[in-house]
Amino acid sequence: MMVRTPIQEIKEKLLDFEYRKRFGAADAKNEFAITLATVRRDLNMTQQELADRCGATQPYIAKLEGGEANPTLGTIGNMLAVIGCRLAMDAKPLLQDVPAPPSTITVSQSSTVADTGTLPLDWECIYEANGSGGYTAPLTSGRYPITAAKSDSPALVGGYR
Amino acid sequence: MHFIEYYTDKRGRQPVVEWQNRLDIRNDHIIDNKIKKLMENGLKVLDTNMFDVIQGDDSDFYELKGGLNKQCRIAIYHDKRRNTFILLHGWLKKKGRDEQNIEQARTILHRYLSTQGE
Repeated sequence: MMVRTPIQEIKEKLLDFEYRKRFGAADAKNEFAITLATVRRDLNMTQQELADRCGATQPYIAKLEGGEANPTLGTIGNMLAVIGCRLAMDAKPLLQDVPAPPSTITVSQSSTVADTGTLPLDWECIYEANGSGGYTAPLTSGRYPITAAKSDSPALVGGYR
Repeated sequence: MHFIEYYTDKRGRQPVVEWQNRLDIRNDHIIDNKIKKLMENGLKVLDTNMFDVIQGDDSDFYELKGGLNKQCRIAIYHDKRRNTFILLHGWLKKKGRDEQNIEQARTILHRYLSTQGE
């Protein structure tokens, strides 16, 4: 029996375009989950404190940090602004060394993605933690990389132009 | 990048691969992406709501939570000596069956540790 590795399994499944799309959606949610949890911890905030500031509930923050929620871009911007951050995105390869499925068209001719196939998108966060779970004026800056689902579909890439 | 592998028994069987092959298509990509995030971020993601520590005597023993209604679980061991995460056992969370599955994962973990000379 052949011994499989997780990366092999994922690479093979990504050849299916429908799976690839769902995987990309999950990737965006999970990337935001990790970013939000990291920033919140850096600010020494609890999920409840963040929820109070955002006008959300703690279970919703828990869902976001579990990659289970599907917030709109507006909600993300809203939430980040409350903790002194803003959204910046980057389109990166979905998985290293994954061949494009035959049914897709590459975006190498796209105006924005032409040079590198990626867009320079990062979380850029500027804040000052006041030591008591809050924040005041910008003082410390940090960058929290976020992976956006790189798409091989011009229709999806069009959103970035 | 962090190393991740499936637990493989003496006969070459990989319980998590077999379990994932039986998994509903609506859950598969969610689980796979969390595995990918673990691969990319390592210990950092273990602090998010995507993972939980499995309580008990065994250290570095976690569960990945995902899928529709967070019903899918994979028990994971972080082998610090090999700097590798081992995917041990997968199951669907059902009332009253969780303990049984965690015990099964623990048995697989001890089997794995015995092959590593621990």
